[in-house]
Amino acid sequence: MMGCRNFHQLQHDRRALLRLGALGIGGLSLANALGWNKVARASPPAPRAKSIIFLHQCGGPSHIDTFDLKPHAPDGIRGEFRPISSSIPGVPICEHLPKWGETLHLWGQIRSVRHNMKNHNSAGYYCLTGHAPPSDDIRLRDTLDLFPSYGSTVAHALGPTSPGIPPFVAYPHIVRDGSITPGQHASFLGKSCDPFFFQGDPNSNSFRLPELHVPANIGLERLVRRRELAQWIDEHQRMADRMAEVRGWSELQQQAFSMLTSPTLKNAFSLDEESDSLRDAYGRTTYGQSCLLARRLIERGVRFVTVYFSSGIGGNGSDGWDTHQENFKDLRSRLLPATDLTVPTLIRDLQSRGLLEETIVLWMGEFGRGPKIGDRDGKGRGHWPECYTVMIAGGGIRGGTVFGASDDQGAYPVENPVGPEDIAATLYWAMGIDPHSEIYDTQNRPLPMTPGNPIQALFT
Amino acid sequence: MLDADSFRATMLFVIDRSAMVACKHPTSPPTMKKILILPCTHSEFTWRSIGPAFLLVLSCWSSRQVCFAADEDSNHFASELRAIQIVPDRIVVTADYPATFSVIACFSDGTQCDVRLEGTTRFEIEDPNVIAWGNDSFLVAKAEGKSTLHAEWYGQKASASVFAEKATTESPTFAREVAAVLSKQGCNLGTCHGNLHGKGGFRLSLRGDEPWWDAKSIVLDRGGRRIDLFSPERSLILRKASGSIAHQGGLRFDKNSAAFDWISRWIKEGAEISSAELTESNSIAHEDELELRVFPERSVVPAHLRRQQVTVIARWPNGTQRDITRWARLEPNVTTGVSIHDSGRIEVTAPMDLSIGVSYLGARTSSRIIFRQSDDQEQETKFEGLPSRIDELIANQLSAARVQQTPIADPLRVLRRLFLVALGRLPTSNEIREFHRDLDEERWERWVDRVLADPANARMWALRWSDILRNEQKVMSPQGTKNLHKWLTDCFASDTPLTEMSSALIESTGSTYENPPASFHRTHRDPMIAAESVGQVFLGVRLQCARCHNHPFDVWKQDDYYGLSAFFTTIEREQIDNKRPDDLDKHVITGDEIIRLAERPASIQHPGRSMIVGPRTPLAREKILPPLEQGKPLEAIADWLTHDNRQFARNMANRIWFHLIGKGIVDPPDDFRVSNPPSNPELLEYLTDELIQSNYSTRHLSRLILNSLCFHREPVSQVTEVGQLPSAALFAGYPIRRMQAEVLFDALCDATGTIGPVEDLKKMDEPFRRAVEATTIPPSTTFVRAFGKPERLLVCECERSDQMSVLQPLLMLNSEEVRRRVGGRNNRVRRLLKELETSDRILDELFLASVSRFPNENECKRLIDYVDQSGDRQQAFEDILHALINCQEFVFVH
Repeated sequence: MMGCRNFHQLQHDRRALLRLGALGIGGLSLANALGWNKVARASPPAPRAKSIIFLHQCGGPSHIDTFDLKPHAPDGIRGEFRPISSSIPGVPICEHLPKWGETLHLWGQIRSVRHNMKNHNSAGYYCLTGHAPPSDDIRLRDTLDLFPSYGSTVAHALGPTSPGIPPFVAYPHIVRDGSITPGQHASFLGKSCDPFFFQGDPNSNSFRLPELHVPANIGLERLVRRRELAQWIDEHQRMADRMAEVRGWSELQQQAFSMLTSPTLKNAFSLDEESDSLRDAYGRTTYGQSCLLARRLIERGVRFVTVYFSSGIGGNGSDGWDTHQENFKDLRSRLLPATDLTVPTLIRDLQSRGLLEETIVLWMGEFGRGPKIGDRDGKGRGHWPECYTVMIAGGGIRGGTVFGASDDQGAYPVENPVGPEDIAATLYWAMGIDPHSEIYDTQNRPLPMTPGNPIQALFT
Repeated sequence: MLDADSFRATMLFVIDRSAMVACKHPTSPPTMKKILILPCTHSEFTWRSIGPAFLLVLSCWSSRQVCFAADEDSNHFASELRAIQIVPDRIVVTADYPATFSVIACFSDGTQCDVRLEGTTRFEIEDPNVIAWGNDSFLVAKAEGKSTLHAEWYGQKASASVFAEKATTESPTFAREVAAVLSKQGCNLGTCHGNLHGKGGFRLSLRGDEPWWDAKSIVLDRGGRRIDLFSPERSLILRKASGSIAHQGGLRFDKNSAAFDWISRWIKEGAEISSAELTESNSIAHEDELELRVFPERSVVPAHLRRQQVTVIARWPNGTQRDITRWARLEPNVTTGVSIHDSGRIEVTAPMDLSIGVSYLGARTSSRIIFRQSDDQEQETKFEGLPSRIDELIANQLSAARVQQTPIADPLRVLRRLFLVALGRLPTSNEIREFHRDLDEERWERWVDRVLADPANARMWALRWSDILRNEQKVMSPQGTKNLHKWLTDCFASDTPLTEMSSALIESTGSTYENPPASFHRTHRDPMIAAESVGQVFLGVRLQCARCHNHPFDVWKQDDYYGLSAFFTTIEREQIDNKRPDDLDKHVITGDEIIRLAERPASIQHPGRSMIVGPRTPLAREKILPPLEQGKPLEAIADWLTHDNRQFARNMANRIWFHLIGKGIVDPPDDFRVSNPPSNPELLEYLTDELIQSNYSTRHLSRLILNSLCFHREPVSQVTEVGQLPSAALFAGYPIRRMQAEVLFDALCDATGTIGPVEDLKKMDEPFRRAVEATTIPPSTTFVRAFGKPERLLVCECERSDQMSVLQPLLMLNSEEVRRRVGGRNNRVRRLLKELETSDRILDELFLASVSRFPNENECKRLIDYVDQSGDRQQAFEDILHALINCQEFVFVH
């Protein structure tokens, strides 16, 4: 099993040694002795996020009608929505996001995200993994050659916070545009890094996870008895003594069993523990309650939660942000109100519980929408990966930051262009993971975790 | 220090500065069993105290009862020193290339060790005016001529001829000396200047694939700023590498090194880059095969010695031979606990099975050294009657490596194993009882024949081949997957020779519905994917690296990759009745597809050379392919692949072994590579011979493997503990693994007695009775997918995941699927309660159906107590059944 892996390690070792050597001679110890470290550390921001909530916006939300408004652009571009003032002086927001506007000072905006994938699945994969797909294929196939999702990468790098708490949870949809959008699982990182995934609706009264729910006719007590019998048989066979594989299985069994019996994880799913007023504030929708659940999950030590806004790209009145037709009507009547109800509530809730300091909330779609109005029915906007806005809050983000800028039509970045790989690098960096470390594919080839660079300018 | 009791009569004698000899019972020479040579750290022993032993020790040399010990506590062994040998036996030395060598001591137990560096070895050079000692004990040339090197170690003598070919330095060339430095110092690695984008504006070809390109990059690129013809030492390339100016890559060599000297001399002499050797290397027809030999190629080193000298010799086609040990890259397959000195000395800190990839210029080879974990002879297993050659070959290696074999497992455990690997299901309780009652001597052989003749065995192979041939519905259509699956099943049911089956897959054309093997070209739509698949599936070689650059750890070149791809470039596909449910999804093909060949020469764009290249068989450039000239590229490549192609046979033998034993002799099974050698080469070659002689019969080889003792041993872990040799890879026992997804699902159904349509697949076109027989891939949220059933989008065996995740035990503990089967209406427990009276008989049945054995006395007692104390017998038995499918024995193939 040599592959490229060992070889690179050797190289790193050699370099690391040289570096260490240089430091050891006087650098590090001297600096420590003189107390210079504190001074040196003050300048670059330090990672401080413990968890990430990724609000994935499938379909491609229009940037020009939400956060990056162009009120002075010509008629066919400007759009119908008026800007209103927000909690950051001089930074307006769309009139249909008033509550978000009140929390805008908690957010960082990246207004210059761009890439070159025009199809939902290829762009979606790019934004779910931070890696450009091999081709802009409208139905990109989900193979183990492709890269893992952000959450899986985090799970791979950091593991669970405690046994029985999955590091990565994703719900309540599998995103697809015709075929499944790649980038929603661990791919070559392996099953152990796959998300703990479910499709139930957190807004439903009977919401619970079938695997975590022990039905009444069995009951927890009986399950415990069954487990004791199995353990007793195992102990007498003594397979675990000799074989690491068996020990590994039995550890996982123990974790699974504690998921079933310990209240920690299971209780996260008991949304009725929350007050009605808070649940109402999040919105009694699948998305609203999913976001509430996200907060409950990270409270219990889940490192990465992905909430998919919709199962498909939408458009034409269905879920999702793909507003090729009736762009303004769809945004005004459906998409923006739902967003304005839920997302600001999540931010406020996290803030009031002191969680926002160490939780990153990422609001991101696969692309923005084209500046020229007139797609399809004449009232829509087309796909636009050339420039769009990504919102990010918490976990050390300096609230109110506007990073990058688009031109006067919102068509191309004029300042600080970044790509999904830089967003990925930012997430990893914020979690204390070196974004340039290597991961290994099924052929054991070393690959960069992400080719991007963290946008440290966003952080305090 | 020595243990006072066991070494009461031990005397010690300082032989020289590095070793000390201890002998037991010095007063009675005939009974003396052992002489130990210990690393000498003691000073308290004086001539006086050990003097009496001196003569005795000398007398023992003649009887050659020499043995070693790592320290005073370790086990030690006695084995006879048979001979010593200098390798290589013909040493060539020049002024530029000093030479090294090893002195190999061969012992009666098959171990060898390098005693070159032991202070006890004495050397003599016949003509010191010709040859002398240099740094690191390398031999250097004084004058041109011939001499002989003599070595003596404990009475054994050996000699080698040494030829001093050039006594003065020669002009360094780029193609040889400079290129070697760039590779050896790591300048052209992927992390450095070999990166696609170079580093700091300076780019080299990855691992020196293209010396011509590198030469231009150094001499001509950026207006020649990298070299200074007037003062070579001040050339940028040298100042950077030697650390006189800042270099992100750090110090690569210092000013006094041979590397610095070579490059500066090369620049001084005009930085010549137009030599024939260099320009020729750029041509695709360039056939010069530099031959690389490494000494030793294989060796087993005793436990107390943790070092070995490696010598690498390069031989050019014109007969030139040089010792290039210093210039070859030596890359171990293990990263911790190994250090490799520039002089070729390998040192390890723990026992290990080490293979070292050796590369120099374009050539690759490898050396395998087992540093064994104990020298204790008592650890040598007493092998009970070895019934087969397989066991003998495994035993040879284990005994040399001193790895303990596991005992023979309980027959019922082996029976379960047999059913799981051959039929993909658990034995039924009736079958177990029948086997249990069968007392015939030939019982096992008969049962092996019985399962091999079972149609389920053919279906199991069809499942395995469907995975790696990417038999999935999206491209193949539901009908297409069924047809190919059936064709594969028929092939294995009739034991069609694997050569015939493989040829059919590659050369078939026409309707994929009527001629299912033509489906190979339906699933592999891109010539490069087809080439990768031919490499990985039929040759067991992963060619993917060579798409973008020469394989860094193997002999495969980018030229081989595109030469192979070119065979598949004239294939045309016509869809008869393609009704895509989603017009945008171009991957979907419904209905039949016709495969045919276009009337045009096969060719492909080779991006590395920016030229169009034609078909060329990999690594066999001289081979003539008549069908190719007749415009039949598919026949040509099928013919090359399946006729007298040893690698094809080797790969097939290894794959059969992999599926039945659970771990490849080359592992992963589709990753044959110079740097990933077989764990037991003799065994692999034997199986390959058997496969060829049986006309590529899967059944013959399966029978041979299933009848071996190896298949009957107690399980061993596939995880190697630190400081231990990998017992699974050496087949010291049966490698344990989790049951594969479909087999586990079927086992769950069988154990609970709920066989019926597989619910998991109900939504698909056709419900299958058993998951192993399904031709479809269920959605990702289902049971079998959670346990790693592959989607069949890759040709790699690795797509089937044997990884474990927390979801898996969760599903086994509490999924609807499991609950329904354990407590369902018509399950095993309810039926048994109706049919059988007593609790112990029911318990027997439950055990046999799930863990394939009878409960032991303890289990009977405790579990029957459990039933008696419970108010509800049915519920109590359901609990037991649930416990049984959740116990470790159930989930593993062990």
